[in-house]
Amino acid sequence: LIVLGRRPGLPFARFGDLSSIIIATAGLMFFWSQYSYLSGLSWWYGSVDHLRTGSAGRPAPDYDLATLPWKVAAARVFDVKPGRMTLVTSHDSFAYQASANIGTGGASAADIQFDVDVEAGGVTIGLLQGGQWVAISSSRKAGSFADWNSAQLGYRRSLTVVIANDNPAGESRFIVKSLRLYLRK
Amino acid sequence: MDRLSRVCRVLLCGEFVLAVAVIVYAGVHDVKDVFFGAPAAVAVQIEGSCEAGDPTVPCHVSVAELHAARYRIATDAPARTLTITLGSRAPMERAHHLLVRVSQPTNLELYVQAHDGEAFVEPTHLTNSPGRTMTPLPAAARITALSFVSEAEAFSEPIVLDELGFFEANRGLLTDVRRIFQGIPPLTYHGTLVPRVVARLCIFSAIAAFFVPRRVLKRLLPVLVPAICFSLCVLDLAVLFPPYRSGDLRAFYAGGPLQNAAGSNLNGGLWQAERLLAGQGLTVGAGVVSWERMPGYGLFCAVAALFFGHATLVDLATATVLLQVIFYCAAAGFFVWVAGQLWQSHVVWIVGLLIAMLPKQLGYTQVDSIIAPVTLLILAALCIRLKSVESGRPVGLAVDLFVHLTFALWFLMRPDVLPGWLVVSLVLYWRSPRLMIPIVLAVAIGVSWASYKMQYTKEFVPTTANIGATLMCGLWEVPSRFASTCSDAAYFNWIATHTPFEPTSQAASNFATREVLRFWLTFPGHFVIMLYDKMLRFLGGDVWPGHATDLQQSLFQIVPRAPLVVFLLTTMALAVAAGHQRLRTLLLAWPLFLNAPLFWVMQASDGRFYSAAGVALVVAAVPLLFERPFYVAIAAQPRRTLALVVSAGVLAIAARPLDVWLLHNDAFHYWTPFFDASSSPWGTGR
Repeated sequence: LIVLGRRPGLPFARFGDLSSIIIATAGLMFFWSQYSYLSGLSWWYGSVDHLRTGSAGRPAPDYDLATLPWKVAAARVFDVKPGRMTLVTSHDSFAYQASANIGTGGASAADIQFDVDVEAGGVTIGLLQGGQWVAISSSRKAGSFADWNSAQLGYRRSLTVVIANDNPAGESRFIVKSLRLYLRK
Repeated sequence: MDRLSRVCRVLLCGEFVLAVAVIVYAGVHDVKDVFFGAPAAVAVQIEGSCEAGDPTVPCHVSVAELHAARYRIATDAPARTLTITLGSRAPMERAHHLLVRVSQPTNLELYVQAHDGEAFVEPTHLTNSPGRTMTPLPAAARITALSFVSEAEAFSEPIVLDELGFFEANRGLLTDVRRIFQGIPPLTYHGTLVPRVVARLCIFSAIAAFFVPRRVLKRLLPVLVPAICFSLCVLDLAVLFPPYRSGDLRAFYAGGPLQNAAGSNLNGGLWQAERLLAGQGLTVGAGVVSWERMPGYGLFCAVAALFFGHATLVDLATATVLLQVIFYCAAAGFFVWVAGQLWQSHVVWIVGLLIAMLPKQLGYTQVDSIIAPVTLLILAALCIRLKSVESGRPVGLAVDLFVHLTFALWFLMRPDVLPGWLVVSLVLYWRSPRLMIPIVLAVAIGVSWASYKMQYTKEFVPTTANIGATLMCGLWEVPSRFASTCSDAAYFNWIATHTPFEPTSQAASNFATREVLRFWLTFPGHFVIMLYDKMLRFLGGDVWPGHATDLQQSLFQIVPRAPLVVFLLTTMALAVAAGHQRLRTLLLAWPLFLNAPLFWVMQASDGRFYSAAGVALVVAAVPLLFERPFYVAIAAQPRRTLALVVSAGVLAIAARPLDVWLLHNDAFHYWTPFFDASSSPWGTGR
């Protein structure tokens, strides 16, 4: 485009102008995308670090294991009791097992904290918005799996907490001892 | 449309400036991390003592200062305990944090001893997992000593602390101090994110440069390119020597190269400089002159020491790396300033950016690290000469003198320039009295060095006495059934077994050279495979030696190295075949044809000697892509163009399978048509 733009009289003579417009616009988008990616990532690391180190004075969660409106997707055993969720997954290696869809209430960010005892296989716990993972934590090791995660929320008004199988070999068994969700304005 | 276009062009100029500013800032931000490794520690005098694992063995502690009261501490024998006794208590009042990085053993227990004997701090468990450990020190003024107790069962290794220091605050010790994106951990930020963003910014600036006014860009080139080059060099060093993980540059030298015997690859130049400045001559030890090196790099290190200090060898190593970076940037700046006379400024910008982005070896204190900038000086000098020829003026004596002074600079560093220098000189001055310039310069350097060495070696060797060793090493760099290996020890052993000569002597080198030549004739198949395999490795990416960080990988993910090399070589071949800028292309690409192939028969050492060829490839090929007459010329020669493109395609597709086939074809590999294999001193293979 640039080369053609320097040949007056050619039908492409305006392409030099056009290329400057396209590249200038692309440049703006490029700078913004790099900045927003890095600032988003910095926010995420900062949030998770803050959650891990400063949870003592944290207020009550907006949702917890008992108050989340769970829907069973594929789990063979799904038993929620106060302070404990027992789950035996389907044989599908990475299938969603249970989910809970909630309204964000205008929140701009969500923090999730969980504590799971993996008896066999592996587990993925995360947040979905618009069908896309916005926060995801996985473990394929038997034993305790506790983590914090954070996500900036998009414009959509709903958010889904998902528990999925993470065992290429098939079924997993685990107990969710706690799961708390905090919504931040 | 015109108005909008004008606005966008102004906007593009702004974006170009912003891109350059961000690139430069990113590198400058890392300067302290790279060259100092940590903020200054509290100046505490320390003394070390140790208790050996075997009580009958004496144990001593070495303390090396990395920088400003940050130390590397090691016992010289397998130890049970390392105790560090602190000097005066006054400075300790300011110390609130203890920084430790354990190298070995795997687990240690740290006990803090108070002057009143009270155990007021719980013992701390330390491991040798990568990274620094910070321990808070309450009431540090009470501390008189620190004891590191090995938790190993057998006490089979020395206790080594790669870093130890007392600090007022832990700011800047576990992560860098930055104003933006503070949440991102330093390794992710510096190791991956920044290099990738900077690589994208470089690509964007290369495109935006087309819209920057030519005159303005041409004036700014000699300033912007060195600034960007400096930034990219520092970014690469920050990735390779991360203070927050595996250790900074100073810790690397203190714990690695400076622990090796004097004269080894990464400390030879440093010892030469240190001894030279101490009035002990250009030697690596008492009465020992380097047998395998020219004098230039030792002098370079001495200059670095004079400029940036040499209180310790660690300081000298850091000073040398800094001077290498500055030299690279200055050479790149000089080159683009000169190249601006030959090519349009946006083309020079792209070439300069590529030179700045190439993988480098600047973190290593060996001569190979500065061959790339020396090559840039040679190519710049050749550009001045080409411009002179292009303008129709007779080439001035000063220009030719400058050309050969740059070649001489390489010769002062490494002797492998001689064949290329000779051929280039013959091409430029066939039957001209100016042929005397390179001859006089080469003889002056060679004779001076030989005369200097003679007082130590009693031999007159104008270059180095390791040609036989490198030829021998080169034999074993391709897979084969021959049992020999490539190392100094193997060569020394082989010479001692087969000759009465001193292994570092010219006589030994001559003997080895004769035996290698006989070996080539004995096993011509192995010789052909060696050439072919090393050539393919060269084309496959070794032409750009050095550790490729994410800065370079970002580019190589878009265009992998091997296709990129073949593409650039094909471009040059097309220009030569079509008669477009034939002399310029061949002259600027001389290291590709007259230097790199030397290492297909000699030791290539994973390509670390190829940096000149890598720079030359970029300089000779890239400008062609932006010249309209180049496309006109190759379009006018459709048959040649097609033949070359098809040949390059065939090479790209068939070269590797042929290499594999050759390597597995024993009948050809171990074919002995001229001499009996049993006469070879290296046997007939496993």
